[in-house]
Amino acid sequence: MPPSVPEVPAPAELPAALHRRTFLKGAAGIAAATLVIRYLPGPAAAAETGGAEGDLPPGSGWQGPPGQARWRIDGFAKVTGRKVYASDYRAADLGWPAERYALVVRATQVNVTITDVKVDALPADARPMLVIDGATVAAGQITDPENQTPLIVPAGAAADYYGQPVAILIFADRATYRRATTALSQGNLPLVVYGAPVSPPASEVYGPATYMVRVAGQGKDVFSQVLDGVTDSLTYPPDACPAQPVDPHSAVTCEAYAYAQQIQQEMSGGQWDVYQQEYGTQIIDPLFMERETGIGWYEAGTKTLHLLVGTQSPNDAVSSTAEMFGSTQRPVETVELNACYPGGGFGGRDSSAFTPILAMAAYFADAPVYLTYDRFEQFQAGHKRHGGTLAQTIAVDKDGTFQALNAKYEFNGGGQANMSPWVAQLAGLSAGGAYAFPRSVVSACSDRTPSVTSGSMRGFGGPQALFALESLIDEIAATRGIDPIDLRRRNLLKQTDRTVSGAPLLQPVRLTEILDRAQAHPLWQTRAAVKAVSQDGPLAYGVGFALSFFGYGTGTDGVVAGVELAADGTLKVVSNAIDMGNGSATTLACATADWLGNNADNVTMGATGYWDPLELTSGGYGTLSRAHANTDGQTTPAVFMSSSACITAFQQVHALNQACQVLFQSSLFPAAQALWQAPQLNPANVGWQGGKLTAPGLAPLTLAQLAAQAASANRVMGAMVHALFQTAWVSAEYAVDGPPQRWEIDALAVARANGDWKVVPRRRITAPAPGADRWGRSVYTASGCLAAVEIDRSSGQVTVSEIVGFLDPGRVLQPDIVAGQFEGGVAQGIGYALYEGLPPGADGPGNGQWNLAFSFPPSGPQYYVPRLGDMPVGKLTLDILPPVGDRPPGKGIAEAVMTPVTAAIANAVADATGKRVRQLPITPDKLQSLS
Amino acid sequence: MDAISLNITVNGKAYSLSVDPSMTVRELLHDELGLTGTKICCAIWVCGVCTIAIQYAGNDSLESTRTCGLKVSDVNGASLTTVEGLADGDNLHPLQQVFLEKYAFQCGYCTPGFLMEAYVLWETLKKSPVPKDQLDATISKAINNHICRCTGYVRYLDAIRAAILAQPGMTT
Repeated sequence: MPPSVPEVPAPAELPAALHRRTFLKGAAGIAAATLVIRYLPGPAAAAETGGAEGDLPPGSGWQGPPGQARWRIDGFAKVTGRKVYASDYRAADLGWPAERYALVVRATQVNVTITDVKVDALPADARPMLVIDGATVAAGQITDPENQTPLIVPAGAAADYYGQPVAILIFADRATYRRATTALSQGNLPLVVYGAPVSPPASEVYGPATYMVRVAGQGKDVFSQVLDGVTDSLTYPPDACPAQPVDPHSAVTCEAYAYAQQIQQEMSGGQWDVYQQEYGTQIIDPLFMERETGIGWYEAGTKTLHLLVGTQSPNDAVSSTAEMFGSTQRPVETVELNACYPGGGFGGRDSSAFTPILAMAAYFADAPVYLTYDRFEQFQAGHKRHGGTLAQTIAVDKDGTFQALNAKYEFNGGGQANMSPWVAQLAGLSAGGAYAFPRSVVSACSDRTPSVTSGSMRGFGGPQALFALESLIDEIAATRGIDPIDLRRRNLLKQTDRTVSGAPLLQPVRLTEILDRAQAHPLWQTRAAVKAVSQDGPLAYGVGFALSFFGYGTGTDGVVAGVELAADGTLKVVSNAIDMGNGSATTLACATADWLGNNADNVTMGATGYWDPLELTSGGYGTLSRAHANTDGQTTPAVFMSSSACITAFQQVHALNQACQVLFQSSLFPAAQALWQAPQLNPANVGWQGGKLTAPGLAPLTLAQLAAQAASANRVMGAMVHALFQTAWVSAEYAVDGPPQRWEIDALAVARANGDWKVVPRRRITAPAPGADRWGRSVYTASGCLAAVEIDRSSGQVTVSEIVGFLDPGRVLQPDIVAGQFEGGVAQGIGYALYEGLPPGADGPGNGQWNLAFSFPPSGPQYYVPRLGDMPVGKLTLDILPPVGDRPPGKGIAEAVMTPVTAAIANAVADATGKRVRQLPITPDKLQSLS
Repeated sequence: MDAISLNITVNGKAYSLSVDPSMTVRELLHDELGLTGTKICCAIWVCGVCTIAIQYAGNDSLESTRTCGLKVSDVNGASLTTVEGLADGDNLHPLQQVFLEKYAFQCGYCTPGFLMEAYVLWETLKKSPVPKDQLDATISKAINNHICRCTGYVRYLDAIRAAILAQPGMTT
């Protein structure tokens, strides 16, 4: 068994399952901090640390046949109430001293100075022992995370946005904290003292903005981002385009601008029909059910900052925390992160501001600090989906063929930059959707505003763009009097086409199949007849369709995976991914079956520091490395990526498959040859059946037999890999035992039965082609949605009566998990279409008054999310395209199943009423105002 | 506020405690008794993640209650069941088992609330079965005020229906 992680002495009272620690030294160019990430807990750890009496066998029975799970690997802990989430833990669970309690005081006014935080407004027995404010932060020389407005309003300054932290109050114990929160909830106790008005900050775009112009040619583009380069425009149109650009960046921008002007002239030239509309999307809350909660402890003796949080981005959490304290006088030499299963994420826990606030509280307090947002504060402080204005213009020739696209998207980024530029970028990349446009001008940006910060949320800009595009296509079809699916069919992307960035399409697009199925579906076929029947009834009926071609991943995906085999045949998978409920832990536990014939017995998720032996550093591959031995170290263009629900099936499973393949080819197959005494056996003649390795005429071998043989021969028992996807998987040759083999990974370390992890040098690496980093996305999931609605003619209330989803998921690894993602995506799509919305500015969630609504329509600062009664129960089906080829890779589907739902509902409402609501959500008020 | 004496039974175990009467039952369960299955989300009685089963007095019927706003002073003498009390030793309650097998949940944070609401329905149906054709409506009414952000609810409905239909005597 390879030594998976360095052991570190732990306090005697620490439960055994929590002893695992992993180290990440100097990763991602972080300051002189040692980063430690520890994942809490696997089901076993949950049982060992659970407070419930009569512990049950942890996780027993979850395994199905090889490649299948009977239920989620984390399911047992979750149905029995074990400690699973960050909010379940207290300092004592970790062997830490008793915790203090923290409360964040937030600004509810902007553009006015803050002169004081008046804690003596609290009852005498409810006052904090410590106030951390802007002056404290300045005196402590804390560095704000890069590219962010201040975490805490600086002393004497005005807040930049509603809900910006003004101070962190530290209370001695839970009783005092509870008295304070009770007093604050019951009375009008304004703790923040405001002073003089100040001028609002200048408007600003969170850069870089996205500006993509493409002109197709015969066989080859005339101009595109992929062909010519990325523009450097912060605004649209570009501020200045001198006649003679002086550097290549501005030259590309100016060239793009010139082509854009040419396209716009063509669009206005009268040769085509031009359709232009402006759509609006609202700010919404991801509303994961577990509020952000955590414990932090600055242990002065060891100069260690310990954190326990549920985050989607553990790497970012530790690196940004280390940066914050990189120049402080009281040193932070180690940052330790204990990552937990989050109670939902949907992107909202990716690079959240919660962790740095917790770190700040812990750093200044004299003991561990517990911080939890209540739901009001989660609305006030948690990241949102961007609201925005989407101007969409399409030029169509007389045959109904799309000739040009002009999309201009502007989003409300809120008070912190966070993910705003990249959300706008994906919206821009999604502007052309599933359609071929020979000419396109796309600009997308997010603005700094005083609203609550918007960041990552499921779909990441895609849902906004898809709503605008799919709405306009239906509007065009209605205007021209043609079937909206026929219009889509005429303009579908083919595999020979290119996207708005100029990127080619590498895989079968399968969009036609989705249109075929949707158009043939009874819901579509009978829509006119059913509508006619309901014409004079109290309910208006309509059916809408929307099509999605969603690019998943980030364009440059760095993924890691490890597999360890014990001498007794026990299999363990290690991943840096976080399972937010999307099932990645279960999926990875079953993915070992392809190469190793068996499911994993244990899965360790979020184990970021584990990858130290790979010696990864961020960088390119160099030029020599393509043909020669690697001379530039273990560089890779993307070391780690944040966890999202749609990167399991393709990215993470690929990395794990490669690790398993290394283990099989380097160790298990030679072990089988030895046990069978068949040195000439061809690996093509062996296969796994029922968990045993078989070959014609030879006795099947169990994994335990193979493991024992491999261990006795000191063969490889553990493989950890890093894989890099940028239009294709990077591959290289590695010599483990015997001749070099080519695997689709860019870094490999192996451990033998009696040794530590060792890097296996890579040779003859196949780096991505030049320009591959400009594609934007290169893997897509095709999906579609038919929606039927019934609308109460008197009230305007919309009810979704049926949803049919269409999906090309590639290989389905766990059907129940795919179906669950679809059903949840439908609920979120319904909420986005009909119910959810938060105003920007002073009336928005930054005022701290927002919470959930009991019913719809809500009144005041209430937020309604769909319930069971809002779902088309019994009328919810997912039509899955059969996979093409033998064992194709799985695809990211979590976003694709959701993105078309909202647009399909919007189109159904328009079909039912003849009215087009272009600003989400489609509320009864808006519908009735159009009459 | 002066502490009060609180006598309650939780998952069959009797407790005599001295507590602040303004403490909520959810705080008592989660923070004092270490029963972490009772979650917290909105804390304004809307979402349902903090739901438990309660019998206020010996002859009272079992009912579900939210605990985020329920003061401990209101449950003196009551018998409480939380998600930790559902399993019988090593045997999961049929509802827990079917929640697993039907992949009813995803992140699982709202699951204890759904389980406890379904458990109260289960106990109710044991005494007062409903016609089979009214079962879906009965389940929907019970869980419609619970919020889940991951699943779309239909697997919760399917799981509860399957568990009830597999148990003799709960439907007519």
